[in-house]
Parts: sequence; C-alpha cells; structure tokens
Amino acid sequence: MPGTAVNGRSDSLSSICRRCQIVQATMVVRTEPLCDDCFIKYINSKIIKRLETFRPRHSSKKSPRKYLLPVSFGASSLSLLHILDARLQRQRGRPGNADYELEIVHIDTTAASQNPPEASSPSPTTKLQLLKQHYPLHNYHLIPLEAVYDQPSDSILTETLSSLSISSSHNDALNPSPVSASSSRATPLAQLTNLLNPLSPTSRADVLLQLRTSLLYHTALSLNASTLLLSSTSTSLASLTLSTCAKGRGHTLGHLLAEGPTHLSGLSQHFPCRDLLKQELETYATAVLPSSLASLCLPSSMTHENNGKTVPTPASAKTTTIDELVTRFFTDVEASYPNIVTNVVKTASRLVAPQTSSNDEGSDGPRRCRLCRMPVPAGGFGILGWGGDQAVMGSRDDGDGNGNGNGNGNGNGNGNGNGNGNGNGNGNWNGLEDDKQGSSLCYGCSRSATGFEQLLP
Amino acid sequence: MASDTISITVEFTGGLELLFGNKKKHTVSLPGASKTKNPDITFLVNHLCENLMQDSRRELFVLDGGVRPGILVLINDADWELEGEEKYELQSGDHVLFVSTLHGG
Amino acid sequence: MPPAPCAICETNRALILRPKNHQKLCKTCFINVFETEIHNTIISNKLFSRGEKVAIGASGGKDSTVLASVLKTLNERYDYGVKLMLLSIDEGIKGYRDDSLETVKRNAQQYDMPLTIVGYDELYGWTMDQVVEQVGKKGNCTYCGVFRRQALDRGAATLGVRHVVTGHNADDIAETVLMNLLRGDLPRLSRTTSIITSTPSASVSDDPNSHTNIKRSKPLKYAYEKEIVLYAHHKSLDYFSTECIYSPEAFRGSARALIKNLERVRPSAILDVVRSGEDMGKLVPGASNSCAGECGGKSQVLEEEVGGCGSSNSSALGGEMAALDKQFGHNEAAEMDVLETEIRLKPKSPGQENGRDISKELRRPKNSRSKNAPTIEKKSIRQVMGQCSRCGYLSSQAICKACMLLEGLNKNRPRTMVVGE
Repeated sequence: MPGTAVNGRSDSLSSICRRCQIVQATMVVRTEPLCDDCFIKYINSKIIKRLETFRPRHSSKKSPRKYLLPVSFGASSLSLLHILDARLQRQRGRPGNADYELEIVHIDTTAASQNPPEASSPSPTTKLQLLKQHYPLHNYHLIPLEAVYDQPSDSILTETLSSLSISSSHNDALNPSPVSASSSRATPLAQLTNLLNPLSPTSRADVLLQLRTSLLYHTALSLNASTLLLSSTSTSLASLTLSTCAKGRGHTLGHLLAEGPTHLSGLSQHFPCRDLLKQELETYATAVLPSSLASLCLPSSMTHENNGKTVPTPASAKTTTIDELVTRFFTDVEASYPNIVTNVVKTASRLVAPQTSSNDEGSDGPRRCRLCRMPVPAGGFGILGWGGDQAVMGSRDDGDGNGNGNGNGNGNGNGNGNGNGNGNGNGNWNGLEDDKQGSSLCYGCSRSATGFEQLLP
Repeated sequence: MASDTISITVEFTGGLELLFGNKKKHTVSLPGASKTKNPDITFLVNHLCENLMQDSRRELFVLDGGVRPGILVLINDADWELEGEEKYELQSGDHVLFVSTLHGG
Repeated sequence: MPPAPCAICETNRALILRPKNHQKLCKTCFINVFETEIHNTIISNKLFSRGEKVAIGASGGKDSTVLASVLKTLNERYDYGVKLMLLSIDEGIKGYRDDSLETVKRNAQQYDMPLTIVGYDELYGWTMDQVVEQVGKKGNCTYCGVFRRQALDRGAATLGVRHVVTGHNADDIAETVLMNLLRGDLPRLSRTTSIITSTPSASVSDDPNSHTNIKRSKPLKYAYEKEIVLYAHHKSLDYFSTECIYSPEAFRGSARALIKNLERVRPSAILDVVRSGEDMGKLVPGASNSCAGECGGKSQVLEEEVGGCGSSNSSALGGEMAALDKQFGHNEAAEMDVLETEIRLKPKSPGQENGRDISKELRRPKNSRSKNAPTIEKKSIRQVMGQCSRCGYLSSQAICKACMLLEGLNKNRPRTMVVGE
C-alpha cells in the first residue's frame, strides 16, 4: 500500500518507518510513519495485548473456554477473526497452553431490512460458508433476527439455558420451527415485521439494535460461551457512546462499554479492538485478508444510490437515523482528530454501572427493561415522572413526531393557584410512580417502542 | 390582464436580518403563475439568496439545498410544516417569516 | 394542506407545530402549555420560596426576555410571592452592549420590574474595552468569560439578592452534555445537568455582601430553544439578537450542529440528551453518587458554566479541537509501545492543593475483574475545591481566575489610566 496515508497526512511519507528504522514508510498512523509490515505488527500487537488481559486461568482440553465472536462481515469483525484464528493455531501448536473454542455467529437481519438485497451480493449463508473455508477450526452459526420470537418468553429473564432452536441455515427462517407460544401467533418473521413496520427510521434502527444485542447475549448463554468478543473499534464505540446518549439511554453506558462481566451473570464481554480506529482496521483488512474475504467487507461510507449514481446522503434527509448521524459525525472527526475519538471512549468507559439497590430488585434480580433487557433503577421506567416530560399519561408520544392525545401538563386545568402542577395527576416527580404508569420499558426504549410493547418478543 | 407578479412580505429576525442588509422587513415581488402553479418556498429561498442577500455567508441561511436547521419558517404566522413546507405555493399578500433560533440569549 | 384543529382545545386552527413533539396546537394552547410546563419545573424542583428576592440575569436576548416574561406571568398566576428584578451586566464594550442594554431597559418597563445594570468597571475596576487596550484582541475573550461567570453573582450580592435565575434552555444543556463527552470532562458533566447550582464558599460566610452562596437556577432547563423563539414571537416579546457565528473549529459549534441535526431526525432528542446527561451524572465515579440524590440535584459549580453566547466562546475555542487532539495524542503516544503506563494529565498550576479537599478522587473503575489483567492505564484526577484567598469565591486554585487576571491587569496598568468611577 505505498502512498496510503491512514490519517490523511502525507507530509511524512518520505521518511523512514519509525519502528523498524529500515524501510520506507508507506503511511502515517496517528503521528508515526510506518511501513506495511510494522503497521500490521502494530495492529496485531494492540489486539493481542487486549486478548492477553483475560486469558483463562484454569483451562483444560476437557472443558475449553468458549468465546463467541459475532461477525458482520465488516472489516473489524473479519480482522479480529483473522487474528484470533492465527493465535489459536499457534496456541494449539504448543502443548499445555490455554485452549479455547470460537463460536462464530452471524445474525441475519435481511428480513428486517427495508431494501431488497442486491442481486449481486452473496447471501449470508454463502458468506458464512466462505469464512468457514478460510478458517475451518471454528464453529459457525447463522441466526435470523426473527429468532428472538422463537424463544420461551422468560428465558432471558432467568438467564438459564433455553431450548432455543438455533437455525443453522437461512432457509429455516422461511420454514420456521413451531413456536413455543400459542399456535394462533403469527410466524416469527411476521411478528418481527409487524413490530418494525410502523416505527420511524430512528426507532426502527434502535429497536433492531436492541433485539440484535439481546439475541447475541442470549445465544452466547445458550451455546455455553462465557465470553463475548466484540470487534468494535474506538470509532464505533465513540459513535455508540454518543448515539446511546442521544437516544436517552445514557444510563446503560456503564454496562455497554464495560470490559469484563456484563449485566447478565455468567457472561463477560471484551473489546479487543477498542484502541484502534475504524480506518486503521479497514486498511489492515485490505492488507491481510484473502481477497475473496476482503471483498466482503461492507463499505462504511455514508452514501446511497441515486439514479445509478452514488451520492452522499445529506445529513438531514428524512430517512437518516440517529445512529447514522452520529456515525457520520465520528467518521469526520476520526479523519482529523483521531485522539478525540479515543478519548471519548476512555471517558465513557470511566462511567460505572449503577449499583442496584433493594428498591430495584424484582423477584428475579434487578428489574429489566422489556426490550433492551438492561437493568433499570427505580424511576427509570417510562418517559413520564421526569422533569423533562410532562405529558399526560396515556398520550401516545413516542418522541418521533407522532405526538397526539390531549394536552401536555395542563390537561387537569389547574390554573387556580394551588401551585401543585400536576400534569399527570400527582405532584410527585421523583419517578417512583412508574409502576402506576405500567411501563415496562426503560426511558430510551420508551422513545422507540411505546405503544408497541405487545409486539415485542 | 391579470398581474403577472406576486407581492409578498418577507421578514427576517433572530439575527438573520444581518445577512440581508440589516433590514427586517422586505417586500418581494415574484413572477406569478407560470405554468400551473405559483412560486413555492423553494423558489422564494433561492430568489432571496440571489437577489436580496448582502452577505456572502449563504450557509447561515441555507444548507445542503434547504433552509438551515435551526431556522423557523412561519407562513402567515403558521408553521410552514403545517402548510406544506417547501412546496407551499405563495399567494399575493402572504407574509413569510424566517426566524433564526441559533443565537445566544 | 387543509388546516388542522388544535390537538388540545380541538377548536381553534393549529398554527404551531410544537418542536418538542410535533403536536399541532393553536396559539393560545401553545402559550398555555409552554407556561404550565415551566411552572411544573419550578414547583417540582422547589426553585422558589415565598418572599425570596430573585434576580433574572437579563441580557436582552430571547432566553432572558422570555424568562422574565414567563416568570412574571407565573408569579402572578400562581402566587409564588417572589420579588423579581432584572439584573444586567455591562462589560463595557462600546457599541456591543448598547443595543441589548436598551432592550433590557425596555423590558424593565414592559414587565414592570426594577432593573439594575452593573458594569465590569464597578465590579472589577476594568471595562472590557480597557482590557482589550491592555492585552490586545487575542485572549480578551478569556477575560470576558471569566469575569462574566462571577459578574452575576457579584452583581446580585450588591443588591442583597441570594438567588439568580438564568435563561439556559434544554438546547444549551444538551449541547454542553455532548461537549463534555467530546472533551472528556466527566466531573463537569455531572454538574451540567443540575437545575440548581450554587457557589458556596468553602467556609461559611456571615458577610451578607459576600458574593458566595448565591443560588443559581435554570427554570427553562427543559424548554426547547425553538419553543422559546416561538413563544417570544407569538407573544410579540421584545428582544435583541446578536450575530452568533459558531466557528466550525469550536467544540460548541460542532456539538451545536449535531444537536440541531439530531433534533431534526427525532424531535425528542434534545430532551433525551438532557436525560442521558442526568443519568450519566449519577454514574460518574466519586461524583454525586454519595448523596444518592438527597442534595436534590444541587451541586457546586466551579468557575465554568453551561451555555453562553457562541461568539464569545468561538474565538476562545477556535482550534480547541485541534489542541485537545494534540494533547490526547501525547498521552496516547506514551502508551503506544508500553504494556503498563500511567497516564498523567497536564500538570495543574501550583496552588492546586490549596483548600479543603472536599471532593473525592476519580479513579478508573475496575471493570475488569480478572486479577491477571495488567494495568493498561491508570488515571487519577483530583478535584480539590478550595476558595480564593482574595475574594472567597469557590475555586480549585489558590487564587480564582478572576482575581488572577485582575492581578495581572493591575500590575501592568499604565499610570495615565483613570481607575474606577
């Protein structure tokens, strides 16, 4: 890759690689000029360094640890797979070394997509098989998103092994296995579509994300995997931080970015790529992956097709989602101010997950949101009972411009000087009224899915 | 013969007037019904940029082909989104107000 | 498009599309809803007490004008029993403040409120024009910013008023939340979303003229900026707009643009950011966790503050993103090749350790339970809140910024300049 400047600064290209001091540098990474080989070493070492931090202590060939690696066929997940595979081969080559097994999972969201798949692009099944050809050591699973509807409803709450039927081929989604719920229910696919269709673009993307995440966690548990390896880069974690914040989900940040135990007991998560920038991994992927895999990597640009031409999507187009907006923002920031990106992640990672008090406990542990399954402290359910939202109870206001219903805070007509401002029937804003509201969704999920709780899995 | 031009008043507040010669109220004449419909807001915005704006910083008024986010548009005191936004067809005597909300206070 | 009826009264024609949630409302109902929500904010946060003297920080801009108008209306309608007055600060910049001060004078008449204008010259002995003469055009924004923070407090103290209200709105708060995330400033994040802040002195002061212990609240905290503009328009309120160009370099500029774009995609996004900010504030290690909310959200404010005019910030912040990027990069480069590194922040100026150590250490939480984990980073930030030895103002330095700047100015003051009145 001569001439590639990872950070767009080409002024140091005529210098010698800072690391090996031998070869001409071909790119600038952060501020260092590096040659190809040293760049690859740099990426490898960053990731392996992180992997070393949670090397299993008690491991044996009899009960190897299982790691679950979700792949999206993007540069990050494929690069991580590539490195993990190489490392595993090395480990197994040495007797007595800690062993682990990799479960590779792809969650197929084709059914939820609003655009028909391009005719030329390979199906998820094909792509997964291609991966298996190149990295045969591991187990591969293809799970359609609608499988969230295929599970016993209390399985996630009690976090035990479930009788989840994991489809191993895409075709199963078209011929769904019998649902465990009553047979008058629609198919999982239909249920998913019914849930997503009426939602605004942002809400839809948000609900998809929550469903996908909880399916991932659940799959890990049912496969007996103790650890989730997530390939998110610094850039995507920064985007996640800000979009989480923008969707009113700030209270989950302590859990979302944590290294180690998650909010589900028995499951840990790690982000080995969290020190790297997305553009760095994209360059890496092009360099090390076999070409048939490198061509799979999804483009990360914010463009769309318009009359056969690729045009940049304007930031304020009506179909943009919050997630896209924020991703675009950080793609820009990453190009010019990469250290700000990594700093956002460092900052957000310092937030601690809240301690749950006895107030928050239900009979099965902390009360959880119906959609995202995150533990919610008392007062955190619903969107009412908080200074910022004084809508009259029962109005279907999902914050996406569908506000209707009668009145905001003055429906009880109290202009008679008793100074009690009860927009929702009580002058009590500390939010402990959420049980009365009957909301089972946390604040962020309420914004996306209020009114559609009955359609949730 | 019916008049061929439409006369409307355009007002800028919230700091926007600074882009238009520091004048808040303007009377604007637009070519009338060409083909089947009257000029719409898109047309008006373009017209304002080309003919009335006295400042080179267009991006403070329009961005990405539309009115910049943060600027409210009221047509005869009603929010333009209730009137069809950019597609609203202007009538003679209409009052269009552009208020910028992007300023300190 | 056919006219739609108002969603509340279902009678009048809807003229307003409510920015907060896209509800279609008529003028009367919108005004009513807007005012009632602010009333609810005031009541539920117990902002006022009967007989209290409250000074409204008035700049003549839309926020403070709407604030004054609404407070007057609510005070009468709901009988809060507070004594309202307008307090305006004159930085002493010829031609700049003149128009806005004229507006404030008109406001005082329109709302029938007493008005006090306090100048930098009487507060500090320097007008901004004089400061600029002394230090030139670069860095003068720092002076203005620092002086302005304390000006309201000091001005209120001279009037014997212990409570100041400002017109900070939801957009300001949301923008500051995002900005603090971008800057990596967690401590400030947990203070940003407090509706009531105060600047207590480290020791109790009996002096009624002390400018510490001034309570500051933001009744418009949950009001959308767009709604404030709409309210002002439909009530034909008189306000002055200054030109505010947000430099693309500045954090505030890009955070602001992001907020506006978020709002366009999802109207509730502004409130959602505020809510996230409040929730995240509780997750900051060592911050207000300890009071478990009992302090009622009242938290101490150091010298920096929320919101403010973009123009005053933008030139001061111009290039801030680049500067911060560079600084973070230096920290980062130190750990590039090393497995274990301790990251040290930019060393603080001497005098940091002064004063009582009221606050706690902020340490990176041990999220990783693995005992084998080598330390990749270790960071500790100490927030020491003391008081300025000159004026008693709450500060993390021995001498607060204002006093320090004044010291510098006064030392170099040319003899020919006339000081004071």
